[in-house]
Amino acid sequence: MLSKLSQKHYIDPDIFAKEQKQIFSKLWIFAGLRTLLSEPDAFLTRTIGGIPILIQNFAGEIKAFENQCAHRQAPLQLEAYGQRKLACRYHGWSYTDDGHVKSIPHQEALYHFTADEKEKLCLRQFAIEIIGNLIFINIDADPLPIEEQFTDEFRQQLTTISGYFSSQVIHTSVPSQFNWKLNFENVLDYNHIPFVHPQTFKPLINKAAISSAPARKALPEKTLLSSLSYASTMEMQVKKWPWQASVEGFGEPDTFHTHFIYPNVNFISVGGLIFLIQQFDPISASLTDVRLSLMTARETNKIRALSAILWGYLKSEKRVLDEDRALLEGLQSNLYDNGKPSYHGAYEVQLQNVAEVYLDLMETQP
Amino acid sequence: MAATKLIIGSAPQVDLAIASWQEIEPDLEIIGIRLQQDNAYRFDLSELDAIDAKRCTAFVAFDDQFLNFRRYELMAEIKSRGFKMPPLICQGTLVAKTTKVGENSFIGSGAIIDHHCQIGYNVVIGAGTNIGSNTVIAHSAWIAPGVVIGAQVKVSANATLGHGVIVTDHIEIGKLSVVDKPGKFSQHIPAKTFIYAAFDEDIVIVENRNANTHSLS
Repeated sequence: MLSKLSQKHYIDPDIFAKEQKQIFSKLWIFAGLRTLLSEPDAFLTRTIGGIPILIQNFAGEIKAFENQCAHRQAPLQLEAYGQRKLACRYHGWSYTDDGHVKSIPHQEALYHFTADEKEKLCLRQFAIEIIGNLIFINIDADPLPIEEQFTDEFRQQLTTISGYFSSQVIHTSVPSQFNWKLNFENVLDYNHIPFVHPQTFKPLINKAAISSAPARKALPEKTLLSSLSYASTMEMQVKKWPWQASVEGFGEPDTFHTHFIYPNVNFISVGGLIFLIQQFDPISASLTDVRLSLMTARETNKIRALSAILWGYLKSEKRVLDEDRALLEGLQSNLYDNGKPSYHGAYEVQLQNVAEVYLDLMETQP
Repeated sequence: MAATKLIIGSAPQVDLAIASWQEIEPDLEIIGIRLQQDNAYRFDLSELDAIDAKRCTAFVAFDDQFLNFRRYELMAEIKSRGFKMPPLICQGTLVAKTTKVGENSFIGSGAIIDHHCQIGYNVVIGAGTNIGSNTVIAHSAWIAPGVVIGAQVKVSANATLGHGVIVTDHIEIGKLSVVDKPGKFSQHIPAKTFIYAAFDEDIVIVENRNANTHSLS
C-alpha cells in the first residue's frame, strides 16, 4: 500500500520548520544520560526544536533551562558535557537554581537595574522527565502528559534496562545527508539487514527473525502515539567477551534488545552487555546528526581497558552506520518534489503507523 | 658467550625488532617468539617457562591493540618473570645525550629526538619521527612513523598519534587519546578523546567522575 507521506515530506524546508514546531517542540525528546549528571553542577547542552538547552545538576536536582543569557544571549554553558556553575562567560552574570539572575557584576555602576527589573530577568525553564537513566525534555509551555507518549509498561522497561548502564560513555555525532525520518524508518525495517549489512550485522542474528512477516491485517482505526515507542527482542549469537565477567549484564544472554523511542531514538543492547543509543537529530530537511552514545553494562570489577573496549565497539557500530548512511544518503539525494510515495508491504505496517501519527501531529492546531 | 635476546610479540613487529637488533648488535643471539592470541585476546606464554630470565634480556614487540593496553600487559608479564628489557634504539636515529629512554621502548630508524626529552617505558616511536626538545612521551604511547612533535609537548600514557600528525610546541595530548587524522594540532587534546579520519566529529568518553569539560564539536 502507498505510504501516507510524500517525497516532499523528506525534502521540503517548510515541512521541516513545521516539524520543529509540531513534533520536536511538542513531544518528549531524549536529551541525555542521567549517569553523566550525577555530580553537582555537571551539565550537558543540546539543541531541541531549534532552542539551545542546558540540563544541569543543581544540588542533586536535574533541571533544564534555555541556554541563553538573559542579558545578551550568550550561551551559559559552552561544552557538550562539563561541570561548572551556571554563569555567563560574556559579562559574568550568574544564575540561581530556579533560573533567576543571582548576581550581576558592576550592577550598581553600569546597569542600574531596579529590583523589579532584576527579578524579571530569568531563564526559560523546561519540563523534564527522568526515566531510569534517560533524560527527556519537553519544551512546550503546556507539555504533553508523558504517559500519552510512552506507556507505563514502556517507561518501566526503559527504567529497568537503563539501570544497568555503566557511568563511562563514549559519544560522537555523525553528520549525515538525509532526513531524520528516513533513519527512524530504517531501524523499524528489519528486512534491510541482509541486504545492507551482509557482513557486519546479518551474521549475528537468527535467520528466523527476518524470514517471516505477520499476516497483513486491518489497521486499527487510530494509531496511538504511545504505540510507536516499544521494546522488542530477537535472538542473537552474542560473542563471549573477555570482560563480560566484570560487568552485571541485563536480561537473557544471546538476546538483541531494541527500543524504538518515537520520534527519533533507537536504543539497542547487544546481550544486555553493550548499550547503544542512536538519536537522529534533525538539522535541516536533508541533514541529520546521528548522535551515538555507547556504554557497557555497569562494572562489578574495574575494567582497566574500558576506554579501549568502548572505542573498539564504537568503531564497529560506525561501520554498520556507514552502511546505512551510504544507502540513505543515496535515497535522499534521489527524492524530488512530485515523486511517488513509498509502497509498503505487510512487514512495513509500523512505517504506516508512524506516518499516520506523524501527520496527525503535524496537523494538530496549537 | 654471546648474549641472548628474546623478542616476543606479534609477527610483523617481532620481525622488525629482530632486524633492528641485528643491525645494532650483530653478535646478539636472538630468539623470536611470535605469539598467537585466542578468542579472548590472551597469549600463550608457556614457551617462556623453560627460559632462565638471568641469562637473557627480552623485548616486547607488539602493536597498539586496545589503546596500547595489550603491549603494556605483555611487557608487565615478561618483566614480572625477571627479564631485563632495555630499549631498542634503531640504527640511524639521532637521540640527544640528555634525552632518557625507558625500558622496552622502540625508537625507529631515522628518528630525531632533541635534548632533554623523556621517553617513558614501552613507548613506540616510528621511523623518521621528529621530536623537539623537552618533550615528554609517557609510557605505552604509540607514535606512528614520520610524526612531527614540537618542543615541550606532553604525550600522555597510552596515547596514539597516527600517520601525518603534527603536534605544535607546548601542546598536551591526554591519556588514552587517539589522534589518527593527518593535520596540524595546536590545541590541547583532553584525555580519552578520539580524533579519527573515519569520523567527522571528535569522539569523547565522558564519565560522571570527570570534572573536565569536553566539547563534541
